Amino acid sequence: MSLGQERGLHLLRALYRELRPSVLEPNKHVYQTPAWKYIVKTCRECPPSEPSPETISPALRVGEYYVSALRGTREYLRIHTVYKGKGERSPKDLAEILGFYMPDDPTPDPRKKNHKTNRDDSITNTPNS
Amino acid sequence: MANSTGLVRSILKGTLSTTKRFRISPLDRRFPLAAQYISKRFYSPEPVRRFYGDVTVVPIQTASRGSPGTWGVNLDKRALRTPSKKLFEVDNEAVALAVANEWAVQRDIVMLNTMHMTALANTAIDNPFNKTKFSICNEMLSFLPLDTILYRSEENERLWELQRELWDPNLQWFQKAFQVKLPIVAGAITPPHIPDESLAVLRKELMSYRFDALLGLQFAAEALKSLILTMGVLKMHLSTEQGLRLSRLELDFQTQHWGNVEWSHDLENYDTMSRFSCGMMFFSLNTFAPFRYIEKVDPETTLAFEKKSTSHHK
Repeated sequence: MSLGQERGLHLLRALYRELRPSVLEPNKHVYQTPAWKYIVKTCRECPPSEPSPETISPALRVGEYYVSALRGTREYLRIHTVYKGKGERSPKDLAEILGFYMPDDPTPDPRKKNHKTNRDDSITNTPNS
Repeated sequence: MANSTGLVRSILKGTLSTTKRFRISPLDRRFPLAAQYISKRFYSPEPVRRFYGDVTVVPIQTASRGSPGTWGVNLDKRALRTPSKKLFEVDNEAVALAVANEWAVQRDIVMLNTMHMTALANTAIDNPFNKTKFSICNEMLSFLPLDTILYRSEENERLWELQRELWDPNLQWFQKAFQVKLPIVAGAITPPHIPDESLAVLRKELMSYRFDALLGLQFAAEALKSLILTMGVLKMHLSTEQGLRLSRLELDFQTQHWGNVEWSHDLENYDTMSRFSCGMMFFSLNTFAPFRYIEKVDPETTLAFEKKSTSHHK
């Protein structure tokens, strides 16, 4: 096996590993995806045989870029998922921590004359009172 | 707005509800309010949830003589559209497949900030700032004096040696390959002056690429913060990993001494890797023959056409 063929095989394995997460259906395989079929078609049309290790065919080059892009995105999302903040507390959670109740219907429509509110204006209406 | 895609509709819906809540004054007694409508701050729109099932690449125009054919991406049965609501249509099947894969990989929330191929393709289609090849070249060359490799740090002797050992060969290669002169500066605020002849040579080189390819090259150079290293990877003087490692030389030097913070340094590293790789991939797919459509001219047909045209004139 030539150096180019070995490199191409290594690249195909890396592409298979990186494309696997894109298949969400349980019965579907990476080999059935249009992306993999295109990659195989390109490999057959542009065999990665090289006269020297310094030169590299465009197909191999694009393949290496794609593996790097997929790996970078996957790792970025992994670290982001681990360290991302949970966001701001909702006002209801904050009120519970401070010991206040939240009103039930806070935005009545003022255009309706007989609008009813369940809002209790008593400031002493706390769980501890 | 009635014809908007579900994506735009969901974003607008979130924004509209934000505006509605903000307009209500908390001091007006006619509108008794709960704290949830006052204290909640809407810094960014609601995250876009995955609203589609299947992602497919569909041919829009079939390839024919003189035309490469075009491909689009369908989310379920709806065609993907650009932010300017144009139909997503590219003349490169590989680009369409890469974009489709980016949409297919999304799980619960669509992370638009990680979909660089989609962003590049949308920019190429929409061209929101009406850029031309010339303007993109000028932008890249105006950033050249601020290239990472041209700035050396003389505070630390070990870092100085590392920069000389790892950056100088690449700078010399660039100067030799393009016949340009690029001076370096050390510990200075003012950028180095690059001769106009060097800029003219580089402009000629950059103008030889297509508009779409230049967008990808600019994206890659901005990710790496170095046009010299980007051209080194482009001309196969460096591999992708070597280019990335050289662009982070000073950062790696500092983290090796002071420590590495995963949620900052590693996150930035992988973000740079994905941006640079997507930029170079977009450039390559729009430049090189197996991916970009290049019509094969049949010499016999051309000769026959020329004979016919000359005989007609006679």
